[in-house]
Amino acid sequence: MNRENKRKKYDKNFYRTHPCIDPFTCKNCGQTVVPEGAGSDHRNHCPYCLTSVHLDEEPGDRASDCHGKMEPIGVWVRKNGEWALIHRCTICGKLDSNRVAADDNPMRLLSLAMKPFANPILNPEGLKDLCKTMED
Amino acid sequence: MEETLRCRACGTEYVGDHCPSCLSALHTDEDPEYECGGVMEPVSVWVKPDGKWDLILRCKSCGEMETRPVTRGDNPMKLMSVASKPLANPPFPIERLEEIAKMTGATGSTGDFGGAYEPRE
Repeated sequence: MNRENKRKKYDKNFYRTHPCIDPFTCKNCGQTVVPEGAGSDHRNHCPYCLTSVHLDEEPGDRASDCHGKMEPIGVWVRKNGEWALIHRCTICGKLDSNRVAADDNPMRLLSLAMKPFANPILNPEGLKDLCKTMED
Repeated sequence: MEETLRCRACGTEYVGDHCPSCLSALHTDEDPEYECGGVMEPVSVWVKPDGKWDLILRCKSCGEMETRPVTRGDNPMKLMSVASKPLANPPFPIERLEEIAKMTGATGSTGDFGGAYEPRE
């Protein structure tokens, strides 16, 4: 283990290896969020509105100066079948992926997954034509 | 002048920033220091506030994520498949969604959206 990694291992402010036990107030919806109930030692986003804040460059280092709100733009399925949220910083546009927590609002999660299908780009007429061209 | 590339995932020749047939791309950047050259696979779709779609790509070798606008020539079936992946693998049983939502104190319902039962006029 080189010196830099060893320093990080014992640094209490390096949250990749140390749990973060501070409650916080959500920047977007104003709810108070406590660390309990996430099913993980590293709560990343508000379980009510799923918004996060751009604090990290690398997971747990708190090195970013941006501190912008990160809005959830989608979900994806990891190899092991669990969902991860995709966050996008509203200030600098950085994308980040994070596991969903145990107490995340399931309605919001599902509404994010449904977004592409509730969109006028997918018009029923076009889909009907698509089905027809596939039959021919 | 844009050069023609051969997709490293499916072998299709294409012009542009991602393969229109399998929607994969190469991880390149303007800044040569960040260039990793890995294959980026499509993981999700982002519906932007103006209603346009962006592909969310994730690099297979370094895990970085990027968005690229969906273009007209993109394979519609592949797009639908990428967009519906989360719905096909829900992290909780969908039939008990309202029950779970009530337990966590969330509001909202998965009700009727009209027109799923009989053909519309």
